Formats: sequence, C-alpha cells, structure tokens
Amino acid sequence: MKKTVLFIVVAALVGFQMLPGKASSHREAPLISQDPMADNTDLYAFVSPDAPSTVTIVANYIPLESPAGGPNFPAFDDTVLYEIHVDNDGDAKEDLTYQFRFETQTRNPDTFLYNTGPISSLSDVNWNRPQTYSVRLVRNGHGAASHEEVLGTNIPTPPDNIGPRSTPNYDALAAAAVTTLTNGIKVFAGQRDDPFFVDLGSVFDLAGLRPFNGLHLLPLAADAGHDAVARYNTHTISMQIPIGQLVKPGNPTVGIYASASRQEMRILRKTGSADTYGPFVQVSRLGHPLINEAVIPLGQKDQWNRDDPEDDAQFESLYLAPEVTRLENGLYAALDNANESGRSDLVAILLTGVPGLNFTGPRRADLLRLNTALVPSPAGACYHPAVPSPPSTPSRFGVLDGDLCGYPNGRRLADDIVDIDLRAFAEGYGSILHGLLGLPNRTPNNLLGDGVDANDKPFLPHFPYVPSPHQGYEVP
Amino acid sequence: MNPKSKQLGWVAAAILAGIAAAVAPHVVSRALARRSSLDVVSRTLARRSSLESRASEGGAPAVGMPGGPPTSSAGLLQRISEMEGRLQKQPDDVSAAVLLSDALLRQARATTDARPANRASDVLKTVLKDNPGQYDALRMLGAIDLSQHRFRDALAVARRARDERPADAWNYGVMGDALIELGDYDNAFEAFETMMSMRPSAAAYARVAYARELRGNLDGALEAMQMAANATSPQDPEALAWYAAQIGELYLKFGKVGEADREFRRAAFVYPNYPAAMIGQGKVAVARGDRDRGLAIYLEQLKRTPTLDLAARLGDLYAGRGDTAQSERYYQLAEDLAGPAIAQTEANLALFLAEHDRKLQQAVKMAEAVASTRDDIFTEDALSWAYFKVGRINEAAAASERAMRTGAKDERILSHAAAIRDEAHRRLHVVERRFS
Repeated sequence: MKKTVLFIVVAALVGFQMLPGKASSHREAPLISQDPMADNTDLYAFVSPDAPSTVTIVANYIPLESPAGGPNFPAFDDTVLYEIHVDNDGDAKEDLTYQFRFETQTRNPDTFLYNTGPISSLSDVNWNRPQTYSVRLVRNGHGAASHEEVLGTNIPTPPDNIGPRSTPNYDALAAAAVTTLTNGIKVFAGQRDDPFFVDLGSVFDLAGLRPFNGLHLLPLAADAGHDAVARYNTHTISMQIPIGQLVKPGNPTVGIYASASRQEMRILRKTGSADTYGPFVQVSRLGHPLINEAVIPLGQKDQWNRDDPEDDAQFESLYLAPEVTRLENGLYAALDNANESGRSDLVAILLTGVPGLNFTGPRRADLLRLNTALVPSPAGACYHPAVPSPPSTPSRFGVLDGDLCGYPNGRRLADDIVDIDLRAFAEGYGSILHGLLGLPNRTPNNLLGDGVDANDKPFLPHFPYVPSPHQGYEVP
Repeated sequence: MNPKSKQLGWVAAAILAGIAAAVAPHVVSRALARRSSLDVVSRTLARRSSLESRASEGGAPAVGMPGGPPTSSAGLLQRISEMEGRLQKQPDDVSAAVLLSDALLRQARATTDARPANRASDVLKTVLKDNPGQYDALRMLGAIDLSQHRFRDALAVARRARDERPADAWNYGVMGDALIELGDYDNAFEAFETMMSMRPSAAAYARVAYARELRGNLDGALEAMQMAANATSPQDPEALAWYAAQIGELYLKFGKVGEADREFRRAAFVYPNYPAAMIGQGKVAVARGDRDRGLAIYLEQLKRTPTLDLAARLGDLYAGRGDTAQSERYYQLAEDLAGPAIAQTEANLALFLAEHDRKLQQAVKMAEAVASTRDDIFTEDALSWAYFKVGRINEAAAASERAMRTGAKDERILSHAAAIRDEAHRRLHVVERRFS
C-alpha cells in the first residue's frame, strides 16, 4: 500500500504516467544510415570557356543541404575518400585518379559552435571548425605500375554560408579558397549552391510534367514547373586541369566519374598486426546524371555503386530496355510510342560515347565522356556547322540542339539534363540529330520537359563557376 | 513554393526515377481501367518504394535524410503528425506506415518511452496483414521487434527479409543485433562483418564498435564509434546524440572523465535533453565527486524518463548520504518501474534486486526465467549475482564463467566474477581445513 502511494506521489510530482514498456536498451544503435557525406549528387565536365586550354571538372556531394541547417553545419567527411577518376585511353579503367582527403580542426574545444564571432578570413580564430584538404594523383590506379604524387596539402576550404553576422563578405572568403597547385591545376572545395534544377515535386507525382499536365493519364491543369532544388546547397569539389595533363596524345576524349568510398573496419585485429581497417569500399559513384535513379533498380543500387564502371556491361540490358521509356509511353497517350527495347541509341550515349562525337570504344562503362578537342566560344557554345544560324549562347539542350560542347559531350552546369533525358528516352531527338545521326525524332516527344529550364542562381563566369551557397539567414 | 515539393527528393533523384522503379505497365493499364482511382496507382507506387531509395515514398525522404525533416525532437513530432494524418485517411498506406515507424522508433529511443514503438508495431502489422510481402514494412518490423525486445521475432523477420533481398545490409544489422541479445556472439559478429563488407556506414561502424567492446577491445570500440559519429548526417541529431553518448560511456570506462563530459555535453548540444546525454552528465558529476550535482541531474531526468536505472542510481546516491528513507523510496520506485514486460525479457530487475539485497529468491527466479530465453553475458551476469546472493556458489561460478566468455572488460561483470571466485575459494578452503 505504502509503495503504491509513494508511486502515485512520485508520479504526480514528476508528471509522468507509468509506462508499460521497456527502458532504453543501451545497445540500440541506429540502423538507418543514409550517408549524405558520401553521396555523389552530380558530376560536370567541360572545356573551360574562359580558359580553353583547360578542362573543368565539378563533382558535387551531399544532397539538399538546407541553408539554415544549424547548429550542425554540413562539411566533407574526414573519413571518406573522395575521388575523381579519368580514363584517357578508352578501356574504362582509371588512368588518373585525383584523391581528396579532408581534415577538420577544432580551434576551441570548449564550444560546440561552428563559429564564435564573425569569420572574416579563412584563418579567423572565430571559425571553430575549419577544414583543409590534400590532393593526391594516383596514376594507373589498378595497375602494378601505379604511383602516387601529392599535388597539395593543407589546402583551405571556405566556411558554410551562415549569415551576415557570421560570414560577411562570403564571396571574398570563398574566392580566397581557390588554390593553384604546383602543376597548374586549380582546385576548390567547399559549400556551393546546388546547380541542378528539376521539378521533383511533379516528377515524383506519377511522372507528372506540369507544362504537360493535360496530357497525363491522370490530367491536371497545366502549370509552370517548380524547381525543387532551388535554395538548396551542396558541397563541391572542383578542379581546372590543363588539357595536356589529362589526355593521351592523339586521343582527345576522356571518360570521367566521381566516387566516394568508406573504409571497412573489422571486429578483430588481424593476428599480430594492428590492422583493424579493411579496404576502402566505394559506396557511391556518378558518371552520367540520373543513372542510379532512372536506370538502376532498387535491389541493385548498392551493388552498382560498389562496382567500377569498367564492369558496367552487366547492366547493359537495363539501358537497352529502359523502364523510363515504358512509363512515358504508358502515362502520356499523346506521345508517339518510343521503342521499349533494343535501345542501342541509349547504350551509345550513356555507355560507349557517340561515334563521331565522344566514342571511346566498345567497352561499356558509365563515364561522362568529354571530347576536349571541341573548344567552346567565350560564351561556352560550339554549334555544329549544320546548325542553321546558330545563336551565340549555349543551348540548354546541348547536343540535341547541335551545341556539341554540351551534354552528353561532357556536361555544363546549365545543361537541362531532365529535359534532354525525357526527350532522348522518348526518342524525340530533334531535327538536328535526326539529320546528322539518323536518330528518331518523334513528335511531340521532342517537346517534353519539366518546365524548369535554369538554375535559381546565375553561374559564375570563372572558376569554380558554381555560385556561392544560399545563406542560412536569408533562406529559412 | 509548395513546402512539400521542396522537401522532395534528392538532387539527382529526379527524373522519372521513383516512378521508374514503381509503375509497371500493368499498373498503368489498371489505372486506365479505373481512371478515377489515383489511389490505386499511388498505393502501388508506395508498395514498390523503399526507404533506401532516394526517390522513395512518393518523394518523401525519411526523417533525418536530406530533404526530410531533421531528427530533432520538433522534426520527429512534425513527421509523426504528418504520417498519422495520412494513415487516418488511408490505414494501409505503406509508405506512411514505414516513415511513421522510423520516426516513432527514434522517438522511443530519444524518450525511453516504449509507447511510440508499440504504435509502430501496430501500424506495420496492419499494413502487413494486407500486403504480407511488403518488403519495407517487413524490414522495419524487424527493427521495431528489436526495440521491443522480441529478439527471436526480430531474427525471424530479418531472416525473411534477408532471403528476399540478400543485398540489403540493413537485415544483417537486425540479425546481428538480435543474435547479440540472444548471446549467439559468433553468428552476430559474422552478420556485422557481412553488413560492413556490403557497405561501410555509420550503422555498421557502431555495430563493430559494440562487438569490439564485447571482445574487450575498448580502444578499438572507441575508434569505431567515432567513425560512426563521423559518418552521420548533420541532419540526424538524434543519431549524432546517440553516438556521442556512446563515446562518452566508453571514455568513462577508460576513466577519462573530461573527455566523457565533453561528449555528453556534445550530445545534449545536438539534441537537448537527450536521455543518454543527461544521464551521462550525471555519471560524470558523480565520478568527479560532485554527488549533489549528480543527484540533481538524475532527479531532473527522472521526471522526463522514469526508468529503473535512474531510480536505482538515485537510491544509491541517497544511500551514500546515509538517507535510508529516501534511498528506500527510490529503490522501491526502481522495482515499480521495471514493469512485468521488461522483467520477462531483461534481467536488469533481477540484477537490481540482487545488488541491493532485495527479494533475493524472486531475483533468482526472474533471472533464471530470462536466462532460459537468452544467453547473453549480461543476463548470465545477473543470474550469477542472484545465485551468489542466495549462496548457490557453484551455479554462480558457472554463470559467471559464461558471463566472461567474450572477454568483455565490463567492470560489473568482472567485479562480480572476482567476488564469486573469492567466495568459492573461501569455501574450498573451509572444506580443505575440515578434512585436514
């Protein structure tokens, strides 16, 4: 009785009800671990319009960073191996691998805050969590003759863009982090605006495309597209590399992919050694955009991410009979039904390169292929001579519009990947490619698009081209 | 912009993505046949989607994922109310059930309150009744079973899910967690190694950390737990707090109180009032000799998360002050807080009784009952100590041997073992003297 009274008294005092269940288990480790720091979001590669003897590669990681994401601001992960791989002889094996490793310092161990005052320079003591990195070049990554070269160490990154009090003069801070390595390669690593643009909200709603709402199987009123990635940031690793260091003589086309790897840890030490770490395991890779999302089925994603592009022949059937095309045919009766099998056009564009443009050989591999011999105008375009009265500016449709310096010959920041893919998968290649390569040009498939045609922020006219990140203070 | 579409998806995920994985031609024709029934299509979509898919859940990323609400206490509440709303309209909405369960599981951990997990269990079982093969719900049910200490159920569910998708590392995590609780360490460690080799991740690092700790490798455990913390998204403060608190506990085992303090404060910084962070700070205060502060922290935390462990700690602190009346009150509360459900799956009440010389015969019975269902070292330790307290030294010694079989350097297990060994020797000595 006394016990019950006490119980009720305590319960009343502390204001809780007795719970039927358990106490917390001390061993209930989280199971879900999506891994944004080791997640490639996009890869870009283009001949730099303002420095045409160089190629710029932009590898983005960490999706959908909310600018106001404090108090834990995103950063590269010190334990992840970030890599950009280049094949320059068509065998789909990496010949040049640029490795990035990050190191975070804690300047003031007495606080968990990101900064304790305005950050006015990269060495400002108010910035409590500065991050630096090293760049290594590994040649012939897989071969016995591979060797490593340190291209730079202790290279600064800018802080995240917090707000006008913490990070005033952000653009200057970021510019100070652009570093030229001894061999003439420029590098930048840090937070940026996410340059991708897409109407995810509609696309995820049963492949809806707002401008074509009326033609959908489940029609809605037509509407302009909404950029779902607008006002989100990402983390960029970018390099500007002299073309001479990238290509092999006589072979101007390179194939590129970016990856993130995490190291295995073992439960037991190996006998007689302190080696508790296993090898690095690739957990994310990216060559062409949207392959992991639009081509590779759920059950194979981990495997696909772990495999190297040189083994991509195993996935060829998914390109030959793409599910995206079946969806387009099924959901949009107004479209001229595209072939749902035998799509060697997609294998060429996505796995081998397009003959006459950026073909690298028969080896199937998801690599972003860039023909560095095609030099853009200062505005960034290079139209095929067959294009009647070409504009001076680049086309967001890239090669589909005859602008050979755009996707899928490499990829520029402004290329409208979503619209290009929608049209290519539906065999609406446009009149120029129909004329040049005989590719099908179905109508109205060649008009498809999500209605989001450009990024929410203008791109910079110079390296690193990707605009400064949205500020947390301004974007709630 | 519509806030929901803003949350959607994952940068590159866009395109016809989730749908590509989702709507097969037969779905389309079904929808054609019933043009008005959008719900049929979207339900089918949901069935095909998965938490591990970036383009999943009709576009909604899981809590703590990029584009989803953070796992802060506000973020969890937001997600729970959203998904409860969806389920109210459509009780068999699989993706809502899975996302809700995920948030509830975290809330259960962040509040040490079992009710959220009970709700998750109900919701998942409802959708699985209609769709027994629904993979995401099945996979999540394994995690919920674990959280409710139904280890054998969790193991069975995880094995079924593993058979369905052998390449999903998640299932090896659930299997390993269940096996560890059941005391099948070799197979548990093998499951963790498989999980790690499939995809190194925070979840895998944390499990290797615990396995190393069980093997007595505290340095290695600390190293791996730090890797887990490193590999966790800043959007996931609940997991960050969990890892930081675990690191704090490991530092305490090394006697590094300053480092432990920093990690517990870090946990409380990223997730205010996180139970393990607050209790950890209480432990730090006691370790530093500041028992008043320890007492205050425990009392405050008891209001938020009333548990046997906290009440017992308070009882001990009052006992240390010589305040027998207060100490007895909290000991009594500790007994009350155990609850019948927990007492059947956990030997912690038995251990509490044995350590505090209360209801010893009952403690033996309880420990024996639990030990008949699981053979982990902590259950064996409780059993050994209960036997010891009632003078059944041979049985105590045998259970203690089993409690030490992994080589864990657990202070409690080791001190119990030492006392049991001494008593066994003493008795042997007495016997020898009699015969000499």
